[in-house]
Amino acid sequence: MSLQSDAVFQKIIDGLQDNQAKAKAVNGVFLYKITKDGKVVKEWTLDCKNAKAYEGPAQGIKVDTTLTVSDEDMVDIALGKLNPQAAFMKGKLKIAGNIMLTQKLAPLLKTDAKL
Amino acid sequence: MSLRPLVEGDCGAVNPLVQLGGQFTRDVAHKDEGLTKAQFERSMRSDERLVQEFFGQAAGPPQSFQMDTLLQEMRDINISGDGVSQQQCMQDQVASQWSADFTQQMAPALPNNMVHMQPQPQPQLHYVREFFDGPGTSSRNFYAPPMMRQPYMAIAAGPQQHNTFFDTNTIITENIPMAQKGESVDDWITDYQTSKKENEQTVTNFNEKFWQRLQEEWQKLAEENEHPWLSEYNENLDAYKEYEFAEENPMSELDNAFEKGKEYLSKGDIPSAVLCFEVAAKKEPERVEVWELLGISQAENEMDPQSIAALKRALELQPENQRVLMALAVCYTNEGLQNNAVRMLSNWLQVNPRYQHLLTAHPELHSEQISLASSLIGANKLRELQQIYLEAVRINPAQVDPDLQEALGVLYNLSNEYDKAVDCYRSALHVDPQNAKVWNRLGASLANGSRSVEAVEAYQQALLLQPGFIRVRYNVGVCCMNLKAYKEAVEHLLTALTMQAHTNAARELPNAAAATTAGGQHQMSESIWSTLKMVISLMGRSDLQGYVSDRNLTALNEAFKE
Repeated sequence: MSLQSDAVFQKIIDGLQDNQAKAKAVNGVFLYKITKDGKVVKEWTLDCKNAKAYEGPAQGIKVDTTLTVSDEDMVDIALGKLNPQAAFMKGKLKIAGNIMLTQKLAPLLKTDAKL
Repeated sequence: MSLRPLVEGDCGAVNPLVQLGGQFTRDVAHKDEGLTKAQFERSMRSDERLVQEFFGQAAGPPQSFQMDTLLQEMRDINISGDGVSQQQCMQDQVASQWSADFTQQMAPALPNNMVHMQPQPQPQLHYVREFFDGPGTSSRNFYAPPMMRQPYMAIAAGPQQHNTFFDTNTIITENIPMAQKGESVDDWITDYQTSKKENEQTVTNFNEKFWQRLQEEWQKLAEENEHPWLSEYNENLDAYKEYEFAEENPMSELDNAFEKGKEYLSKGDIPSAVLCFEVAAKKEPERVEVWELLGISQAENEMDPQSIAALKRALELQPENQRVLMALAVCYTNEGLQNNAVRMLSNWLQVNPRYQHLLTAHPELHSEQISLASSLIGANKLRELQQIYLEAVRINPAQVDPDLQEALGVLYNLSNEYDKAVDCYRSALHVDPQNAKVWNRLGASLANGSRSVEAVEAYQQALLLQPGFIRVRYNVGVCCMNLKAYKEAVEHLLTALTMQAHTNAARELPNAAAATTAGGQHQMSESIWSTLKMVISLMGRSDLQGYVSDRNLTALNEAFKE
């Protein structure tokens, strides 16, 4: 099953490979649960400790933070249309585990304009 | 009441009348057969009501009565079982008493001053129990409890009973001869003494092993250098150390590469200029201007990692170059390396004769400690530096220094205060409206502050002034993507890539055909490709992903031609 957010995660995977030092600075393991119509349809692991990301649950490493978000909202967060903090407040983004670590995630998710 | 003795049982024993009453009132099925309860009550006469009353009285006890039987049963069980369990309890108590006494006697001998010995007495206790359990079990047979014996005697025939009694007796006497007992105690003492020595041995061994293991662990930790704060520091310093030259540069035979590069730059052909500067940098690796222009061009070429490498080289050659410091601060900001950017901007202030006196009040800012600080402390430094820059602005509020505003704009970008950054760039543009770079920075600040529509206007200005500004094309692409105008985003990103791949310089040279493929590959930005990849998959055009991973620009241009 292909989702809109696959593009986002593909970009994250590329970003992690291109800039390993940046990824390791985040130094956390994240599990994304992507929902569609209220059901979890896909899981992605962002292992920033080892600078890699893959589909499915974490393999052999402890997850620091689990984030549950719908497919559409994930894309909106990545495109900067939806502020992750606002999404969290509205209940669109559910976070379990180390919440502080997610603050470091923004540069990996968002495609920033360059000065 | 005269009925009372009938109903109440004798000393809690079963009262047959109550039992009957209980059974009758509880027989619901019988009562309801064929009649509803209401009909039954209506048809009741006065005598029947009396009966009903009696049963109503009797209906109370059944539950307690049932409890009584249960209690009785439990008591019965207890009485029959008690003798055995009590006896066993007593014997167990005696045995544990003995063993406790024994261990107490032996306790002072145990080296209880050693912490590691604590688990050690366990096997000895066990041994004590075993020792006493041995005779204990046989004596249990000998002093057979009367409760056990009574049913046994009732069942067993006369002579058989005597035999078994005699047998158990002899077994006991055989089992515990006094001499053997003394021997085993001696054995046990020697055993204990040897085991004590062994224990001491194991304790010293354990201590040695423990310290050895601890030392190894520390050594391993030191070797791995796994501390996040240390690695963060090292990696940030070492990233982008070496500049990577294009493998095949079509300009390599150029003599006046630097001049040619400047010419291309003034024409707005950044990728060609980059190639020229690379040749020049190879020829004259000690010339600061070459590295400086190479770095700045690479930044405009949307190649931040390369730009940082070149600018760092320039900074090594000339540490007080303001333009290089500013350009490097911008690159670090783009790459999210906050600490490095802050350090560059504080250095920028330090080398600026108009503002350097402001830093003397804050010696901690321009010291090397900034690079060592963690990201948390970095945030404080950022705030402080912003305050100092604001002081610098206040020195001469009438006359706006565009460079100072630019630097402050970068600082506000670092702290994600995009609206403030926008104000800084707007005032800088007020002084110098022809600066495409500042227009781009304004656009980027707007876009990052989720004001994409306004950003597009700023980008348009930048492109009007400098049509070959690759970074602006990329930014416009990102902006369109964020506005979900995927088709337009792809167009802009493809334009940027095409400009990078097909440089004018390569076309003007005779051996152009061979050079474009190899040189062009290196010239294209990874960041543009990965953004393009994302846009294409957001469009749902997974059929084109193959072209993206193959870096097949012609096929992609073809696909989006219409």
